Amino acid sequence: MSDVIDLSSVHSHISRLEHNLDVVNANVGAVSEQVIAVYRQQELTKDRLDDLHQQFQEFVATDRKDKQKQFAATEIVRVRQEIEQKFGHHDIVRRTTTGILQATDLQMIRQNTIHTVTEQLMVTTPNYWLAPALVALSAWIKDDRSLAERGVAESIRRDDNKTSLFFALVCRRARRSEALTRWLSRYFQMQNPMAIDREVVVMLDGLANGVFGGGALLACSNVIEQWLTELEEQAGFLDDQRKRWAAQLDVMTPKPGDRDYPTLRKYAGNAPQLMKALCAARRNRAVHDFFTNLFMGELIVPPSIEAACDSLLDSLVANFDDEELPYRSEERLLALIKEEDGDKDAAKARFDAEAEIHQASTNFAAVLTNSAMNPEQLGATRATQRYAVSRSREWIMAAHNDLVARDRMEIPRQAGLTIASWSGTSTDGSNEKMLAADLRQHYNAKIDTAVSAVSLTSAAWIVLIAGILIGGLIMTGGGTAILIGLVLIAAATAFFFWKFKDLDRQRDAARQALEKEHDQSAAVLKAVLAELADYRHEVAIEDARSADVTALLESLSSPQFVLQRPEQRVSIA
Amino acid sequence: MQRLDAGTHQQDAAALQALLDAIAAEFPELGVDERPLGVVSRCFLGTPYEVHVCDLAGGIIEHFQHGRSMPPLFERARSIAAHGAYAFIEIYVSTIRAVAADGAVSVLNA
Repeated sequence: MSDVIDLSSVHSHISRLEHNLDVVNANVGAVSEQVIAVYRQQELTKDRLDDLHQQFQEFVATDRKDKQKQFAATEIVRVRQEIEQKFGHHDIVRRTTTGILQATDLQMIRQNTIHTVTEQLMVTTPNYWLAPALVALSAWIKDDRSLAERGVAESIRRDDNKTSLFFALVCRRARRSEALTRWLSRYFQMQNPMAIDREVVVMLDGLANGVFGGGALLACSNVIEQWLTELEEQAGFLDDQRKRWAAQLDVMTPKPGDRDYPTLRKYAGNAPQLMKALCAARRNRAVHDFFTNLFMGELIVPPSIEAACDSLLDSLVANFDDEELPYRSEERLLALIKEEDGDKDAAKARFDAEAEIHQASTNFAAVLTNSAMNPEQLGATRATQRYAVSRSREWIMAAHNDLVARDRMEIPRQAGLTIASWSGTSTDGSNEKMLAADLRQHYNAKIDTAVSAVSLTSAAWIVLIAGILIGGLIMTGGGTAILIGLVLIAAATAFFFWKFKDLDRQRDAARQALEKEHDQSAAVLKAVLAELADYRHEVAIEDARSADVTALLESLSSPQFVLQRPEQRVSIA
Repeated sequence: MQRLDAGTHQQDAAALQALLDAIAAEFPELGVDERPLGVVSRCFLGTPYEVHVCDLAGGIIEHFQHGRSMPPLFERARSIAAHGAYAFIEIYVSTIRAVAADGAVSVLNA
């Protein structure tokens, strides 16, 4: 009986081992779940980091814009103070001009008082062309021909163009038609349409507002046509005009809204180009609205020829002094930065489009363009704006057509979509079925790869082989060593089978994770394609509006936008 | 240009020459180097054809399917030709000119 081996302790050891293996199994399962949880956490963290990065970039951009806006606001004050310091005394002379004329109309002020005031201004504002012009004006009122001639001569020496226009307007105000025509002729003779001073806008204002009647009106209309004919004979003029107008229209392109196609913007690789094309197409509406609003409504016409002339005189003396030009130009750029909420690039684009306003002399066609598009910068009236647009309509249409063609060429023909690990392309969202099938196929392949990648680890094999080898080696010792060897082999085998059994669970987990990702991607794909279809629809509608702009411009003609004042109609009759 | 869809010009050399002469007659005052290199327009042969090209220098007419690339100077006019708003697109070395059915010409710098 002593040969009988008592295996009860072996059984109990094996039972304990089984129990321990169950514990290990449960722990490994828990670890596996934790690993999946960590993986999900990592994905979540990555998404949050991406969001944070995007928010940070947006914050930096906004902060930069805010600072630019604040800087522009402060600088404007400085520039205005500088203008006030350097040219503030010109203001008194300017205000005195219409003051003298109105006082003379009312016959409330003694001629000597007017004379004294103008003499004082002559002394306090050296080198300013308007001071001797006022001395001449007061001498004329006082009937002092010699002083008037000396005043006019000095004023002409200081600034011939402005003096000629100034006295043309004064003569129109006094209804001296012959003198008006002579002053205007003198002004026209000095002009070169290739390099004309900006105050020509006052002449345009006079024409468009019906201030110049009869012979002067005819002379102005003829000279404008003559200048434009001369310009059109220049090589490259038409190309320049197209580009000039294209630049003016291009800055009317609206910016994309925050709510425009958010899913498409997030998942289309070429989203910036898609949004650019959309905004360009939306410009047609902006341009159409701009011209429609310009030609809608009544014009506010000054009640009398005196008031109309005073308004033009104010504009002539206030808006066109070349010494102030660098400061006015700086002030304008800063004001644009403020208007664009600190977006320096957008402000610069607008500033460049109107750059010719800030030059002392420029091409007459450029003056016409800027009178139409930036009237407030030149002091031009709405009537002038209408006249300038209608006179420029051929160039505007050509520029509009060029821009529309350029934008049509730049509309991306396809949207490149990237959703998680899948990518595909769509023109207008109509290939949804094909893309959904492709997405399914992509994830099927991914699932197959992931599932087949789940296999026994080398550790399981090592444990099995090492357990058998070491167990066998121990068993060669005989006696209780056999028992220990068997236990070791049983443990190694049990561990191996447990790992083998766990493979199915791991495969299921991988499959489920990827199925979930597929479902999410399929939902995103559906949303992106729906937005892409809407996008194409909107672009087509906005693009078609380009024809409305052309139709509107074709309906304009410049002669109908030259005002005829009631008194002129009477005189013609 | 619309007549190119009939396909006559690919088989009939005389018809092609007549077309090229007609195009040359449109530019009497221009030197050979100032004339367009070719003309691209939308192809109405139907799917899979998208645009066709009349290469004035080589005297070749070719219809292009979706995805098949065109010669380098012509490719840039592909999308605008396919847009359908223009009768045809003239290709020059430094510019392309999109001509609408009403004769309006849009100039695009390359």
